Amino acid sequence: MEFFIKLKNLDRRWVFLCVAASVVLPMLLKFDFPVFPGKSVTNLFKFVETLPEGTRCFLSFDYDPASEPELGPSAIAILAHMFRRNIKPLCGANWPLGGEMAESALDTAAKIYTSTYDEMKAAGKLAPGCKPKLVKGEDYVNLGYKPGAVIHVKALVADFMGPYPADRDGNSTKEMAVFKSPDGHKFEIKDVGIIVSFTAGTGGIEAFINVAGDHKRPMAAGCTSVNIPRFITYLQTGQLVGMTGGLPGAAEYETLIEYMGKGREGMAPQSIAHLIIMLFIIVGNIAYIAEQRIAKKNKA
Amino acid sequence: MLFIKRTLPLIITFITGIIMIVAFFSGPALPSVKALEDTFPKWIQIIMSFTMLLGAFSLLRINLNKISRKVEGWGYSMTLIIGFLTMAVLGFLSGSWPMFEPQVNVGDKYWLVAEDSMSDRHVTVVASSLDEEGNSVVDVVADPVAGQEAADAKVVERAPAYRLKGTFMAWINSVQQVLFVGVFKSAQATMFSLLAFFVASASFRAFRVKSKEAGLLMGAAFIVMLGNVPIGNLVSRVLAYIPIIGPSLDIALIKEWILTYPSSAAQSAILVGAMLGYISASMKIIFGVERSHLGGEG
Amino acid sequence: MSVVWRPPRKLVPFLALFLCLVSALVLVAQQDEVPAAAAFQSEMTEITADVVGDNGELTAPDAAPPSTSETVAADEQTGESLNSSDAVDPVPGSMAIPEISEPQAEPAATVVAPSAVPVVPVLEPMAAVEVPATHAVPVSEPVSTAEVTAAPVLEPAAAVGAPAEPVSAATAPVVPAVDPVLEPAAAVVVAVAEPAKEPVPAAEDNVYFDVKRANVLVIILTLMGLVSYFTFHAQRGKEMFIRRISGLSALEDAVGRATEMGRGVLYIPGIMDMDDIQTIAGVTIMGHVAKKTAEYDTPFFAPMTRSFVMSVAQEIVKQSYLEMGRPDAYRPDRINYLTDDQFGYVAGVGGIMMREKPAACFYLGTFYAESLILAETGNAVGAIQIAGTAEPSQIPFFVAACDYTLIGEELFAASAYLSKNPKEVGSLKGQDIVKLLIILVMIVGTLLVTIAQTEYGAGTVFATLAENFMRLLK
Repeated sequence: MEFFIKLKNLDRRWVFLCVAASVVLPMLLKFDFPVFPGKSVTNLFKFVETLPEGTRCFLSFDYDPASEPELGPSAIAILAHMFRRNIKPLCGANWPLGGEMAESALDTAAKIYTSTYDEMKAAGKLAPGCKPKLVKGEDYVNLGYKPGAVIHVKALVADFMGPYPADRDGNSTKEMAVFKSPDGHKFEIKDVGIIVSFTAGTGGIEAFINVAGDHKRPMAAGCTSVNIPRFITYLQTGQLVGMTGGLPGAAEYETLIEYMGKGREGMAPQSIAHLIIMLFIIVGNIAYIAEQRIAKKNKA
Repeated sequence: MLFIKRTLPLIITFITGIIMIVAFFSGPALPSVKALEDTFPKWIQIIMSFTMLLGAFSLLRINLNKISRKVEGWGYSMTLIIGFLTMAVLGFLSGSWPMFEPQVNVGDKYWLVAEDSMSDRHVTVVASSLDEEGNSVVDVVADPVAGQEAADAKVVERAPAYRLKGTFMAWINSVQQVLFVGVFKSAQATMFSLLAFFVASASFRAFRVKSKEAGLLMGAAFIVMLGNVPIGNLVSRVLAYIPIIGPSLDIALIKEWILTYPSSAAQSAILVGAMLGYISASMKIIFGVERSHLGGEG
Repeated sequence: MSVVWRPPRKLVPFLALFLCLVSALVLVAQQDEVPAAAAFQSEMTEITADVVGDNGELTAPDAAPPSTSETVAADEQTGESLNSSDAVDPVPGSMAIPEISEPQAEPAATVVAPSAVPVVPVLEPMAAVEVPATHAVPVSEPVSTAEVTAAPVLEPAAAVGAPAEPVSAATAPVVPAVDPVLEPAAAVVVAVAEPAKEPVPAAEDNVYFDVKRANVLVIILTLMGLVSYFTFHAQRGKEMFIRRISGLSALEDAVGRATEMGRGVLYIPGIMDMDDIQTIAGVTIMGHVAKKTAEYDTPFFAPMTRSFVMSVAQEIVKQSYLEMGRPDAYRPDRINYLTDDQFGYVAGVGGIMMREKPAACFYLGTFYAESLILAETGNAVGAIQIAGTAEPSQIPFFVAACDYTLIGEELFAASAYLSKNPKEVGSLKGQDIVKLLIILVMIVGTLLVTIAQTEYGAGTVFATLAENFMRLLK
């Protein structure tokens, strides 16, 4: 009993040490946990699968380096999946550093695509039109950051090419192959197959949901773990076709595209850390109950 | 004095409040009123950026005061002042100064700073032109780097002219980036990751099953925590061996249910209440019922 | 005795409510005259119905099954918009994409459907509504289209035959194609009464009022009406009851405790600027706390993350000290600006906490990821902590780590609670009545829609009622 009482007053630095160990050790030992994709991630994956080849999709990178560890992996996984389906991502950003985030995600996703091209081709998992190498401006484009959030999205609905005369590097979008339509019509928001926003806080997917009545495109989100309860409402109402929540969401998407990325790597430390926290809660409660009993005994 | 401190702010609040409400509800027949919806926030941004100066002065005054009086911990104030000045000076220098920058000459060598300002490389300008928006853009060829294939280095690349820097400016840029990425961003990430430690210590200290409701809460918390990580699936598999109820105990599914229904409902309820509070508080401010933010009870 | 008839006081709120409802009805009626509004109304919910089945399950189009009884259920859940060309005919480079059903006018030339088009048997007793949908189904694979449509539709809900619109595929320039749609059951609620109309820009030009926002206006007017009524009432001396909010009652005790311990009080009005209502609520409560610290002569620290809030806070605290007759005790350097950067600010506040060891910490305003870091540091220095925020994602952190937490609207109620100003108390009452109305509307709506969806309710007066109710809300 006395031991539990002592435990209750455990210095919080011990707690910190245990949490640090639970994160660092699995990282060093490289555990791998089997990941089973959940419904919301599978829905998004299936939706991307059903998009016809050559569909242009709008991906909005609404996060900054602080949320990169959580949102980057899912962005990379979704981009890699799109490349394998020969779907052309158009990347934009509602956050000032989003363009930079998009650039690095595109880079990594393109590398994943090229390095697994032969293997995937042999397995028959690539869309028929896939080429061994991706070309910027033809297979994808990074349009960079534009301010305004909802106002910017409204502008895109009115005229998609209006806010984007040039891409992030200053190349004119007018002549870009990715914006060309077979029947020659000017690229519009209705040509977008799905809008995906990687949202760290405000001005992300909600900016698109607010004007959903105007753009009428299917939407999906990647969000940080702490925001899952906030955005799950949109899943329930069907305003989002799917969602990848935090690092586990990324890990699930990586499982679906058969790739071992940062998401899946992060599952071991996260699992162990969750277990450690649960353990602490249980220990704390045992100590609490022990204390109650002693108090009762003393009274009696 | 009272007029300027109290009445005038109230009048301004009332008028702008009413204008914003009218702008919000106005239809397409009143484009100039509708446009105010977008214009007003921009004005606010401009005004807010001027108040930055206020903050900077306050910060400098307080800390310089501490240094001059040599109060306890004045060394921290010193560090703050040095950091403040260094970043401010570097920020000013590495910004775009078209009047001081040399004319871009075709054939000359420059440092091309990457878009994220994180790195730079030596390039030679091969062409210079204006883009559709009238900004100067250049076509550059990367200078061969030892150990790299020459063929790869001959690719012509287009970049905005402002990203071309001379040697001195490239240095300034590098130092600023080292401080920004190496110090500032790392410190930011450190503070953010403290959250994980505090979550553990807070739950250890505060998560006590003092009542039935707290027990329910803990049950839900455990399910969500397990369901969020792959270990939840392993637990489900073990639970599946329990006869009759076992197979229906899928942690991930129960987690999804908890998040989609009870949690989502509670969040929506809080939001509805908060939004009503928002509207009513805004109304009170617009109509001057609530004026204690102007100082005193009014 | 006055000759002017006045309605009994108790009836006034109901009269106000009635007026609001009538205005809502008038606005809705007006909405029908403006096609643009009608067309835009249900899109948000239509996306729901179209893309995702009512259980949220997406079904790939290639799973569009032949006519077996098991697969009918899957059919019902299949979002119609998923029937894209890809699964049927993966033409490389095809630009046809799944489309959210958007109300569009049919081009006259393409209304005539090819004779091969099968007609979906509509077994549904309700008024079948035609929902025009845009679909890309290449004719090169008529078999699969037939397969889909030949499936007997056993679903009692709205099975709808939809005229389709030709969509240019990459291979053929313009191919008239028709894709019969199995409308998911969920669509009854949303799509049923929505006549698809093409927005008429010409009509829009004369609209001085944004009809799409009529619902917001109705809520605001109702709220304003009720708030004014109760404020007026309270001013006349009627006692209004506010339940005890323990967090606010503990404010004074917390300051008192700090005084006893000879330590200071730390106050943070959130990390957002003055344009956030929560910040305003935060600085309002700050005035009350400052009065107590002035009274007890307790050091009052308020590090700020926004310079604008800093100057407002300085003014408020100064005024509070002045009112308590202690202008000499006011120290503006304790209400200082730190930095705009979120985590830089947290680090700064953490430092102040560790050095000054305040005995009471108040966090009232908008908080994000820093909430727990602040609260745990406060706990580590042994402070009594009172927090309040309307950010749903941060409330759990405060509840876990602080002694008292104001949840959501309690933060906005704080000013009324502390000042007992009849005007403010009255406004709280008005707010509560509106909340009650919203709850009523939700219950009625849920019941109506639920009944309308059952086999007993379909086609009866409930269905019409539900349909009208949903229109009213939109």
